[in-house]
Amino acid sequence: MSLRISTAQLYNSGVGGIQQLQSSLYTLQNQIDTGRRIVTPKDDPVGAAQALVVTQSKSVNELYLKNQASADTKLSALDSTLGGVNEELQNIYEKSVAAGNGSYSATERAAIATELEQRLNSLVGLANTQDGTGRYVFAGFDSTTRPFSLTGNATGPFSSTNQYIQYNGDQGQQQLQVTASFSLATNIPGNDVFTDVRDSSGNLTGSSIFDSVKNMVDYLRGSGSVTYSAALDGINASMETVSRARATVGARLSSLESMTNTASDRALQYKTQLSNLEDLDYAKALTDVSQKKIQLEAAQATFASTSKLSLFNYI
Amino acid sequence: MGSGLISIAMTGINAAQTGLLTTSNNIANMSAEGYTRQRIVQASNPTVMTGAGGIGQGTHVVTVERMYNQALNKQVLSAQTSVSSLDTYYSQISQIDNMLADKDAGITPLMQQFFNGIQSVVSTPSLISSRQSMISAAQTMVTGFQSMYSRLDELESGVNSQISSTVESINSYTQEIAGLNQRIISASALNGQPANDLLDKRDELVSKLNELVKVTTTTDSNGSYNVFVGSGQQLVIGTRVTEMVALNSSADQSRIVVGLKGATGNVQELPESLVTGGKLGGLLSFRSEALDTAFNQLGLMATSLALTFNAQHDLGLDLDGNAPANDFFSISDPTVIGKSTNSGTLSATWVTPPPNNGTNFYTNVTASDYQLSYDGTNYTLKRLSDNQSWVDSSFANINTQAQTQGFSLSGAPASGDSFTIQPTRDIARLFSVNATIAANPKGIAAASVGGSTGAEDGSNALKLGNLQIQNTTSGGKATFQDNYAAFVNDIGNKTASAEISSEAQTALFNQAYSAKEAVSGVNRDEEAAKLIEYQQAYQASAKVLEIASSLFDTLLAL
Repeated sequence: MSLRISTAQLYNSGVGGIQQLQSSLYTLQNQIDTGRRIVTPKDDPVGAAQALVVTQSKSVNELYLKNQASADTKLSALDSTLGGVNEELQNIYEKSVAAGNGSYSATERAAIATELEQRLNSLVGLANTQDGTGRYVFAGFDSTTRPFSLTGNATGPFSSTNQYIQYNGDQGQQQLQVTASFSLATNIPGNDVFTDVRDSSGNLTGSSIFDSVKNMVDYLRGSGSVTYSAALDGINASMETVSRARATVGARLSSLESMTNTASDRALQYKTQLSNLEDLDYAKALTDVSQKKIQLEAAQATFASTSKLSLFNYI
Repeated sequence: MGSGLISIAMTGINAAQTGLLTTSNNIANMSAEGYTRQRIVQASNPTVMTGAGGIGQGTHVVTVERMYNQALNKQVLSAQTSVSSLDTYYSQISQIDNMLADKDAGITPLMQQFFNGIQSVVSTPSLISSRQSMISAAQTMVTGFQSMYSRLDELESGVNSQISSTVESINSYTQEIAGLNQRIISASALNGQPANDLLDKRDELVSKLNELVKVTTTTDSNGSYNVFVGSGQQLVIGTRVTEMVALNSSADQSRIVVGLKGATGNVQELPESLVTGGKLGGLLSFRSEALDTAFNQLGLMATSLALTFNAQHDLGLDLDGNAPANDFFSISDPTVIGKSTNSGTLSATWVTPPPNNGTNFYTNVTASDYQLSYDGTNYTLKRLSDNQSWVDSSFANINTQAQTQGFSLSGAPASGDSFTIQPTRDIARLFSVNATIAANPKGIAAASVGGSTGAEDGSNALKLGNLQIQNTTSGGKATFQDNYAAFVNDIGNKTASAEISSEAQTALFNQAYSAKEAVSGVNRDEEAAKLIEYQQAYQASAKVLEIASSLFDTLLAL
């Protein structure tokens, strides 16, 4: 059976072939222009869906990194404030020990009392530390209220039943989400550091930092209502409480460090994963372009020469 | 003898002349659309029996044959209608595909910014500026949903108006076909020969009609075409035409569907499953397979986000320490559409999401539409995506089933009523942040109830932020982003497979078309050869005339 081809069919198939090649070149051009292998979801529906999920994972991971940095800043500032508190307490303790020397005169003791009073004010100032936006750091959740203020009680001995300075804040722990499953506390409520002082066995002593220091001041000024050793023990226990608080902050900071390392690794992984899914392989694309170009040129040349052939040229 | 010679030669000349006319007609019409090549059929004249033997009496042209093959033509039509349908479907769905193409411009980055905004409230809940930035991010996000909705809405309007205009074109073609039926019958009646150009024209019209909707044709004994659509619905019978109408559906007034106008003038809706092939079939299948699903998927995301977020938000306290007076997000109730013949009522509301093992809220809402019907005894609730249905005689029990699908029904359907429930279709249009909270950011319930609750309490905001990575949709099995990714995957798949099917069908069409062209198409070189053939036949017969004439002269000269 002989194959008969109409003239229209000859033209149509020639043009059709050229159009198909042009369309392939157009697609490649789009990919090269955008740098994306997946120009629209139809190019790789599964890949497009995966890319979306990985994109969210990447963004959420970046969020965690941001939160980790934020937590680090807050905790570092907390640590340095607690360092300041510790320094004051250290000085107070040394002066108190020295003043316990029976050879000091009343005037010398009074001088030390004055210095200790100044350091007490400094301690209160540290306890009422504010951050860059004016929020009180040691107030728990109640950050707009000054956490530590004078009760107005003037007569010692001072303790939890007769407070010299009271705590106005709450127990709130501010949290930041630092990994998918873990939120980190970025503050310590003021009473845990200053008010609820615990000795080395962990038992509450019943006196806050301020109570113990004020008691020492009163003793040095000659008031007989409080014993020297009780006040000194109170100051010692205060130093231990602050140390413990610093250790807590230090532990949080070091866990942050390992979290950040993990998250940074993850960020790189996600980036690579996304790139593998989405990015165009330029080498392959450019090779494809030159191949299609050759095909197109051949098709065009063939069409041009065969369409000239006609019996009418000869009769 | 001379006269016999002359008359025989004349028959040869006439036949050659007809041949030349037909050949030149073929050459002239080579590029005419729908032209079928013609050739003359010659037969010899009856022989005269003489004592010396049978003497042939020359030739005559029996007919001008139209080189047409019914079977090949039917194959072309069948492939053509599929190609039209797929091309239309593809060009429509590509628009949705393109809409989702740039992932940095879609819903994903807006949702991410919203959740970033929540983190700033977790970090500094007492700062009004943090709260304000969360609200701004929320408003930008809901605007993103709204604008994606309006793009889909534009597509729908486009589909509706294209359905109407396609139906108009279909009607004009069927009118013309009926007219041609008439003319063909009368032209053939004239001298019993086929009116080739009219036949070509009619086939061309059927081909154009077939590009708009799949039709089948049968031929009457008197030669007229009867055209049918769907499963045998008449469009053209002889010279009688049934008009096709684009009308508002009785089940949903906002939807344009196709119907046929009966003899009495009433319009019968055609079920969409019967209107296949061609541009019309492509538009209808795009609408029901892709567009309706796209609306529902978009709405599903908005619904799940709003319901779960609101549920967690309601558990918190605002900056003044009060429980929130308003939901954070506002969404409308599920849409319920009654059939125009209904007499009862039905409405739907959202089910509050249940908590998932105490860790997060989730919804059971699906991207499917539903149908509730009541026959006087039993209520039937049917999920249209997979035709799963529940039947019960108690409305309360049916409502329990409905609640497993995420919504709750109320009302009093009357016997014979049918309602279409579209829970998520319309949600993205009016998805918004509550105006009171938007105006006063203190209303964001960032703190939790119980224990310490000061201005710096962001613990509820922490839980709100975690919704992003928790399984909040599909009955607690997928996250918001999983849902969106599934939607994008679905559209990508449908577009890709439409493209592949279209290419495959086009290849089939090309094959069928070239088979038809092999029989019916004009080949210029062939016609050139025929010209020479008939020219030489003419010259030969003319030579016979010349010889006959000289013979006669010789006779006269005697």
